[in-house]
Amino acid sequence: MAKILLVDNDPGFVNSTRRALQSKGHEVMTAASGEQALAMMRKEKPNLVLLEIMMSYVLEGLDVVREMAKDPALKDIPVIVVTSLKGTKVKAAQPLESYAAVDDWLQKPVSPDQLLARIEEVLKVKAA
Amino acid sequence: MIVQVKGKPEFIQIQWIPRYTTMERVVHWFHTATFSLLAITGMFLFFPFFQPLIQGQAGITFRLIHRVAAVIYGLVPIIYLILQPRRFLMHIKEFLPQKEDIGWLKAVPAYYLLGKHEAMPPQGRFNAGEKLNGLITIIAWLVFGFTGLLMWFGKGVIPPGLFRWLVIFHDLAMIVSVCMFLVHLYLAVAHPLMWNALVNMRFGVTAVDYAAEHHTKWFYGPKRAMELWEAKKREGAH
Repeated sequence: MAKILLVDNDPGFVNSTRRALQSKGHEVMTAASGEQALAMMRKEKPNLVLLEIMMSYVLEGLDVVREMAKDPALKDIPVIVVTSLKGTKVKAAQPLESYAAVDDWLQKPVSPDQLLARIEEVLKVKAA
Repeated sequence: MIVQVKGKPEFIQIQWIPRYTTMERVVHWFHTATFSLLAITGMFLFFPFFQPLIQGQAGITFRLIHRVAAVIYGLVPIIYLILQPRRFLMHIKEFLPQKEDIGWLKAVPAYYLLGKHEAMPPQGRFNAGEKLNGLITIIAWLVFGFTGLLMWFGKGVIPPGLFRWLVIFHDLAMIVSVCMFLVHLYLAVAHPLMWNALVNMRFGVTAVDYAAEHHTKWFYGPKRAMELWEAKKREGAH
């Protein structure tokens, strides 16, 4: 069972996701902003971060990923983006500025089963 | 805006960002429709040269349309408040002026007339012009509601002197809000630099490039938006 940090400013999504994760025995912590999330990560060292990109501003989640990449204590924590932003897959591209890569990308609405399956997958890859 | 997913060959590209919720758009379009009806029927009642057209049954019909539209116009924000109180209050808070709004308003003529964007301080989800429009809309809603209800139900009960003042305030609110409505309509529909405005309110999304340029603080966050603006100003000075 993993220690998961859920970062999102939508209380409805946070409550339903927390319940789904706790039902599978995961320990869940929550943060409603990027700043709060980074402080919690430094203190609690979660095994995985579920992150919304768009919070109080559009790129807030990506700023969190960028800060994590700069911090040796946080750079290895896997990040799954769970976002309301609609992304399309493209073959070749230049990632924006210095934004780091994420471990997975899910678009809301996401079913609890789909989310749990992806969490398992990312944690398995990380443990390997 | 492009993000890489580790271990996968493809990238995630984001071109559109959600800017307005469905509720915000429904409220906006109901408000627009009822306000337009109120403005048109109100003008027939307001301008003396239209008076011959609204005699007898026509006058009764015009007053009825005006009142039905007024009830819907009055109820729309109240329904929004009841259904989504948190979002409603957040929305009102976003309309409150901030110190950089003065700089934006000062720089606005050079932007809209000459296309010079450099002097404009970074803005949030709403720019200072949209905030001004929002605040005038809220104040006008309060004035129309207060004066309109008293004029509707208080005729013959309210002293004639007070009734006259109610009519004057109702008319003043109409003049100010119709002027603001026309400016808003021109900028949203016709101004070449505001190419994304109508898309925003029709589909609820805004283009990434447009958001980065017009709503920098909302896009990049306050800290980075100020850094980018300072850098842009330094570049402009050289």
